[in-house]
Amino acid sequence: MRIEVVVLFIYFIGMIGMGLYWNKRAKKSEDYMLGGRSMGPLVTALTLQTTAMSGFMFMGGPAMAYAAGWFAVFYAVGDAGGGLVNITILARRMRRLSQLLDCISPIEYLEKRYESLPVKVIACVIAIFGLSGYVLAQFLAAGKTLVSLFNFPFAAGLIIGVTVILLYTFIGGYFAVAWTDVVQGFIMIGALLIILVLSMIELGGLGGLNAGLAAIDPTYLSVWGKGLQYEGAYGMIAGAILIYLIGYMGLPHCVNKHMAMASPKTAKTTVVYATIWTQLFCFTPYILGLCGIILLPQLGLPGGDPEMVIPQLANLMFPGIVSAVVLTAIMSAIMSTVAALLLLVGTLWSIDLYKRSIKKDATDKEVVFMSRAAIIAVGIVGITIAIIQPPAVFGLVVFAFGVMAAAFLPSYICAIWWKKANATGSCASMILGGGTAFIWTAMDLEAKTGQHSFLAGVVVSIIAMFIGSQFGKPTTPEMMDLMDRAAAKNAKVSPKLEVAASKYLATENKAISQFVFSTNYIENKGFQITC
Amino acid sequence: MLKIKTFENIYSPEDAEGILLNCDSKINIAKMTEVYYPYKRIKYNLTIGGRLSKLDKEVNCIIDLVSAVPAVGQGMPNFVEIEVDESIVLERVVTDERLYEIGHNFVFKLFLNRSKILHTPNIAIEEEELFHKMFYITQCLDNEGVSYFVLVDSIDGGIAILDWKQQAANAKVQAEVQNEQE
Repeated sequence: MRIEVVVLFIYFIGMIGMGLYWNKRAKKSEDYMLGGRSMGPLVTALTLQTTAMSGFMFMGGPAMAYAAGWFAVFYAVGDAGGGLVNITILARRMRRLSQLLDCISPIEYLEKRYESLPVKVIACVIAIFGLSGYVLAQFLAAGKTLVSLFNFPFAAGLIIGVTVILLYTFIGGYFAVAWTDVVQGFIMIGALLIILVLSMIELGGLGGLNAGLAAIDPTYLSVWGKGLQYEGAYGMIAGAILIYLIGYMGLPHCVNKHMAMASPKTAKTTVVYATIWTQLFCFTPYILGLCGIILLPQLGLPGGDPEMVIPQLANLMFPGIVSAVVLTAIMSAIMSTVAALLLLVGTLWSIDLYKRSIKKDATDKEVVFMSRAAIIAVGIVGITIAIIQPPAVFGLVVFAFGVMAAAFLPSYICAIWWKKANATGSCASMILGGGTAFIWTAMDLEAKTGQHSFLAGVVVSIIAMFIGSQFGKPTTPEMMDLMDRAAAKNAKVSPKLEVAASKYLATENKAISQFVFSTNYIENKGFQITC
Repeated sequence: MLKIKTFENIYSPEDAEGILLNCDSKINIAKMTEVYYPYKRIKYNLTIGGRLSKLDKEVNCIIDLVSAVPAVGQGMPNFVEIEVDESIVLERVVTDERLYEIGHNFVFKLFLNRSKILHTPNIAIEEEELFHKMFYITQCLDNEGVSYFVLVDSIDGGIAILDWKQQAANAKVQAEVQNEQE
């Protein structure tokens, strides 16, 4: 039996064993199904970033750098600041408004803020489409990892990979605990950083890397990309930076984190760790892609696949067993990420669309059936697309990211910053913004216009939000009041108390405020009011 | 007087004051009173059976009977029966029919979202009880002597600033009353 197969089995048995052990230990203190994971900020930041980036960072990023040279680092520059921008602009007000609106999901948040069912339906459809694109990218990454591990033909690797992922999605959660994510995260990051260091030593540092690149083709070093393909295309550069710098504010599964902030103190620390970690990690895959140009020139030849840079570098730098462990960890992380995304797609379809909008009296069994059907449908469609015409992981992620970000960005930002933004504006913005990003990519308008699809989509989306909000039902005074409160205007209370305020008391606060100030409570209790 | 079931072990008014001073030692606390808030605890039994029976769980769902908001209850508290003045008890708004619908949907959705296992659980109510939780209403004064009110949870010590809009309106009335008196 091949060593890689043995490693794969041992690895999975180890992960399952860890899951069983922690589940057993957690039995008394934590409800497995419904209990929260109370990890510290460092671990939270680590798991958040690794699960968010897995397939894309290991396959897509290096391939982009391999193809375009240093130009690809523009994407990493945006990514490096994206989390901070996202948190600075949205986090505080969005957390407050979602608390005041009493909603827990990002789609429900849009529905309640814009007081419109069509907003929810359109948002659901776009989110399902975008997330499915993400899932497809992970499928491709999983298939390619299996190809690298076992030398399977791509189609066989893909079908096996997707089948394993679907099985994991249906029953894998039984074995999944936070610690398995953490171990996988450490293996992935550790391996990536070690590969980077070894590659740098091999190439003689950054100077050596640049000298090597210049010897092959000096335009690899150009900000305009290899062959100066993006020369003068400022729209492409702006799009490459902005897509990850501001695009995160339009992704439902990312803005969800603001709503889920339980402790401001933990959230603040998590931001610090996540930001430091992002600076360390988000440039690495791109630099490895550049190293691959020199160390793995065969990947650039016909029949070669630049998305295999990291698996190939792992094979080159590590002994067989370690290399197999690294690739298995990547595969596991992809499975964990895609399972979470697939479950989100299933929930959006079965609960948010089917039960709330199509069949309100659906039984639990029907809802679960619809959820399973949606997940299997995404799997089948994904395999079909990937076998017939496999897109590149990087392009697919940028496409899915761009469509969702262009569609949702103005709706999430205006929800807290522009009182006049209404349902008409939000619907127009989502349809036209997402549609523009979609058409721009589908018709390859980037090459023809020199403008990035995300940039085009987001500009149209913003204009549509502005024009659309001049029509239709205006924002209600009640909603404007809530927005004022989210902005914390007129608050004269101790800032320290405000920071310490618990979000879990939002509904009680509302009801008790009404009770205290609308009845004779103040008078009856003899409060001496001074002004 | 009204007979209600409430938590046995709670933070005392002194504890509540300490919690606030711990957040900001400079705040000026003028007065503290209490209100009682109604909830229903419904213990659900989620069963899946077969090889996945390890996932069979009991879930305590706590439903806010004023705002109709569900939450997961942690642990099993001890309750005592006490008599309190009706004027400090918030009135229940949510009907029984709505209550069971909210609880069932909440537990089902939580299962789907977090179990990572796509099975239909059987959801049955094992027990239920009505109880009230006490909150402290604390009047604080800012540097200019203007009042604002802070809510303190008597169980977990959580705090919330009472609705500013209501407070602003209240402050305006206070100012008018004071002007009239002067």
